[in-house]
Amino acid sequence: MTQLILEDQHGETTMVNMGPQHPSTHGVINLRLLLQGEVIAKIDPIVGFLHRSIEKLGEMTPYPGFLPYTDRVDYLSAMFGNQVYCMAVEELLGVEVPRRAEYLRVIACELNRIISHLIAVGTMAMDLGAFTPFLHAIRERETVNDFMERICGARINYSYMRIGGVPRDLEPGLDKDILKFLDRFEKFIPEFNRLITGNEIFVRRLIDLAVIPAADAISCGLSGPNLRSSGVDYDLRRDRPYSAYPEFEFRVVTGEGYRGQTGDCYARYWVRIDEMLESAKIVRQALLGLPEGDVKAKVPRKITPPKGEVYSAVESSRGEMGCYLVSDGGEQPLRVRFRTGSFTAMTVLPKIVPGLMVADLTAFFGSLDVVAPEIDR
Amino acid sequence: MSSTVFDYFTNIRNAFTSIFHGLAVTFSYLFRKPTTIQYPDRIDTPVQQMLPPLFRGILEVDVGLCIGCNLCEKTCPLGCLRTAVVRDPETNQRYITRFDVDISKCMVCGLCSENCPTGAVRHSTEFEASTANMVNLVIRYVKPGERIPVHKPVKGEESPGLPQNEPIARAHKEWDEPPPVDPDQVRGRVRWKNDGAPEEEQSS
Amino acid sequence: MSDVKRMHETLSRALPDIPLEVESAQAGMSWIHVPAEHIAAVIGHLRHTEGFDYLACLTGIDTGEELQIAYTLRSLPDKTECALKISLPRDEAVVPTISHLYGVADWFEREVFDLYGVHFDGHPDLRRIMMPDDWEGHPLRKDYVFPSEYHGISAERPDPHDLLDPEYEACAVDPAPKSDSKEGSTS
Repeated sequence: MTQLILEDQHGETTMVNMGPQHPSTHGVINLRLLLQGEVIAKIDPIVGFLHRSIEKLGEMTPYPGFLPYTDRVDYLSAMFGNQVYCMAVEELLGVEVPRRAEYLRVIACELNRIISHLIAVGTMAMDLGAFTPFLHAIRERETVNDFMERICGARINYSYMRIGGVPRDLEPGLDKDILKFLDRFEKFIPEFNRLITGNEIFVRRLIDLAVIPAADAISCGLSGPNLRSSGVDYDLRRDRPYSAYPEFEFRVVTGEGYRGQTGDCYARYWVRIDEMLESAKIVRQALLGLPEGDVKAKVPRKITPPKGEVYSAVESSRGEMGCYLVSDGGEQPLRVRFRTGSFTAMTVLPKIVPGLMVADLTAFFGSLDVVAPEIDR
Repeated sequence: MSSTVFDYFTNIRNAFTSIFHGLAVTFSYLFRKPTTIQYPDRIDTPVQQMLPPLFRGILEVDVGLCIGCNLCEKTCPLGCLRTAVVRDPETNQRYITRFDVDISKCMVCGLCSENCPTGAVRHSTEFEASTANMVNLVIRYVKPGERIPVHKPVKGEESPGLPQNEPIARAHKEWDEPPPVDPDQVRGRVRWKNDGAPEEEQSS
Repeated sequence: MSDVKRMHETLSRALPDIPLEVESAQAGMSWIHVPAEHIAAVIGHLRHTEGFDYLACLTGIDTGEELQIAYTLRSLPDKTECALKISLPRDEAVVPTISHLYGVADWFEREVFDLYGVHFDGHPDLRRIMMPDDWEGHPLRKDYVFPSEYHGISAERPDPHDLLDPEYEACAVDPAPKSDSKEGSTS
């Protein structure tokens, strides 16, 4: 690849602004490219267009009132924002969340992971010109959205969790409906694979493209599916256990053993497909083993955690979502900081992209599954 | 990548077969039930009635149940609600003189309705409320000048709350200045067949 | 907790010249407090010798009196975590960069520079990341003053509630009953 650049060097370079309004950037991101012919020589990602100062708002809002804002950190997987914030406050308060509430949280989070990955693989196919898989993915997503609506009352910005648990129990009959859906969903994935994953044109477009070596992935702080597809066997759910995850059996999917090299775009795609099946497995286990009991611990109405700091992290669908919470003993946090998977995924671009074609950048960027609001917060 | 002639032709064959696998899936959907519906015109029941009871739509207030505790206003992270309570110094009776909900700010998080001790504040299943003037999105449940005595819950008795999924009487929600908007605008711009008049509009 | 204490002992043995302290508050985690000028050396040691290969989080904190930067390091193979913290004066906050140790620190440090105004010595490309280049001030500082406009675009809009206030005031017929928000807090 580097050779290609050297051959092309006739002293002519072109500067191209990819974005801020570009269909393949999934949001408002400006990728400033320096091109030599059609090969990218340098990339400079400009972010911040969607900076909504959520962290500053956190310093001005009381603890329970900040919860709806955490939905907006990553609107495609709002449940994880809720969970990581609630976990941080609960750890400061020393509140024990009832076991049933933990199970309900796991169910909601894993359903959220399924629909977030559906969007990821669907839009990735769409970026490469295949529109049909996106519609199939969206159809399944709508079904889960209906469940979400019955679980928490909203389709996108859930605001489901509360400090100390969840506000309400599952609606009667909902567990059976979800189980029925999971049966169907496990048949849907092979169909989806026949539709696009096995498509030779699609495969050839992705394999051996933009390989992220494991060392680079770790150094650049990649997390979640992007890290695992580089062959690093690390999953916060298993290696930094939280919530009720130690009680479930699931496989941590890594990018080894698929066609092409470990860490290429196709591995990142496959990791997401397989993770959906693992999530379905976790939801099934949680629904079948749902313990009885309360869904919310007793928490005072006015929440004033003692002085202290805490870093809580959950495995979001876009990688590690962390919340660094500092309390000064008052009603409002001194500092709320969200560490998100998309932000760190962007740092890998200047390392990997030089040498790629512009069209390949679209495939690579789609495979990273970056959500713009999550970068900027 | 393909080193031999055999590989070359295998690749071509694979490309064709995998495309046909995909097209077979697409083709099979010709014979399945459609999953899409045509919103908003050609559905039997309004979406508002198909939503689950938990759905968090525009806030609805039954002022008759309000005990004037002010909790909703305090829990709202954005200051959507504004209430005012006055006390008659002679009879010690407290009156609600103002209960405004600014739904242009509301992010339907459900914190206020959860904290309401009597269920006076709750979410309806309405979600369509577009208007040209932002001030119109302030829903006023108490008319200016009106005084509604606070609700006194009887001890030991469950508060009646609001029946789920049933729009409350919108008598208090009259819009004054500027410009007068009929309450139907909050219910949604799209009117349903059973509303009567707009059927002709649709056919035109 | 024990991770941090164990790491403190290891570090004190390996780097005897640097004063390190384990600190903690009433709740939550504890961390190792490092003098700001030695942070790159300490993290470099952790990275190369102790196997902390992953920078999980880097964040600035403004306590009102001083600026702090918290580093959360993680070792993926050993599954251990180590939290470090440095304190800086509010004016002229300068820290040695760690962007040569972790690729991700590049952007994390740019973010802290943008939002807190901490200067990272030796950073290859220190410029604003979240805010526009011509923005004034560092928004996450506690003494930040919100601008009322940006390039002629107003940042404020009237609260619709306030617009309706006069109507209610005009209707307050009875002079005797006055608004009592304190009374309302009985639940």
